[in-house]
Amino acid sequence: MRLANLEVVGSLALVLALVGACADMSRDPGADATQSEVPMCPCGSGDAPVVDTTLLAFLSAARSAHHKADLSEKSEDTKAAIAVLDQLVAGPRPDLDAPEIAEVLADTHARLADLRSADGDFQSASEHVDEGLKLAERPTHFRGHLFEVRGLVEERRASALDADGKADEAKRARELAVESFEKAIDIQEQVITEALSEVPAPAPK
Amino acid sequence: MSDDRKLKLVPRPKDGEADEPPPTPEERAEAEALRDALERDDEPISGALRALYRPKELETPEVDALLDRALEPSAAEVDEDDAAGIEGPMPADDEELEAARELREDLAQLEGPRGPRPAPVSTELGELAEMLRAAHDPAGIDELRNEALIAKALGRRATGGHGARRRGALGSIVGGVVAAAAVAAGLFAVQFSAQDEAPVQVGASAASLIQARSTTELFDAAEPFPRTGGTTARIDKIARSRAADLRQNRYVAWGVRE
Repeated sequence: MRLANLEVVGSLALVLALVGACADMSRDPGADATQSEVPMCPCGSGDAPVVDTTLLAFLSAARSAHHKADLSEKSEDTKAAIAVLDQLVAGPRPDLDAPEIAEVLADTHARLADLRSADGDFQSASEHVDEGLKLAERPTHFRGHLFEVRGLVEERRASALDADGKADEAKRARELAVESFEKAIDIQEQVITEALSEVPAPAPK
Repeated sequence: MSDDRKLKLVPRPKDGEADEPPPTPEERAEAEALRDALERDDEPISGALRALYRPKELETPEVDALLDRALEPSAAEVDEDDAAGIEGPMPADDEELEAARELREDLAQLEGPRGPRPAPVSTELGELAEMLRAAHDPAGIDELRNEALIAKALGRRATGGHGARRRGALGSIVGGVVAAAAVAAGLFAVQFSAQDEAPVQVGASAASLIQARSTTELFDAAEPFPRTGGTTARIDKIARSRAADLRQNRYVAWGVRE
């Protein structure tokens, strides 16, 4: 390796090692992950934006929100978990037509539906599923998962209605749950079929 | 990027420009001595990096001895107390009680959930406790911030290229040998992320930049998501993948040749 390159690699490696050990020691309270000079042209070929700092800022914020929600759930503080995820779905999002943003938000709505229905708030849970389905319109695991969560919400609703002695409504909720699970299975089959169609067929012998 | 492609971060010298002179016998001897010191585990910088990455546990008697030494009064303080007829520790005054309360609050902050930013401590000892916690158990670095640090390091190296080459080769040899230990520590300690603080030249063709796209490719088509749980792990995976794409887009935009 040339000596000049050794120097560059050595300096960079030292920076990386020190950064790793001092990851949160520096104080920069004014900085915000979403503020950037946005130097890169957001344009790629075609209409899709390129992966840039704005997208990463949103993904970092989403990741932090879900980790905070995990900690709240571990402390059995469901309300705090719901609050931090509500901020994510209701908060500002980049003005980018990036599929990653839609899919992360759809997954967040699914998690909120799970948390809210576990807390007995079935109306809000259903609304979260509906919002998520608007964001995940293509047949993907994200869409299938939302239908599964809808089934779960209806199962929980049926149990609550049974406990209240509302047998007819509980029956209807169970039927909705079954429909949702079947829809989730259909979507899963579509996902597999699409994945297989992208695999090139083996060459004939 | 494949392993056998090398990134040329420093441009080649132009025609007619003198390349690096070969190391002198003295420089070779220094490098040899450094290599021997590394093998004997006798080199301070690499030793410090190794201790940072894998610190040894202190034995309980050593911890007790350190605490006793820190807490025991000095000879001057003993003389003062004797002169004043004071036996045993004095009760804390209001200022000391207030300082203890502030430190207690700071330590309570550090026990709470860790966020992407340092805990809002207000005392010097609280700051020290936070630094010790970060040294022992560093939190993951925010992706954007890590990208900014890398951008700064590469940006400074690019502008100092000519001056760097004119420095003695000894610094290069030493830097290269220490880099071996630093890379091992850095690879395990750092989570890459991106925060833009350095200007980037927009010189790449649009077609060569990685575009935003669906994340379905990251997940096994045959494995549906679990009915409950797993959201955080999925989003972690998505963020890591796109952080790698952002790095690649930056290299392309900076014109880093492979």
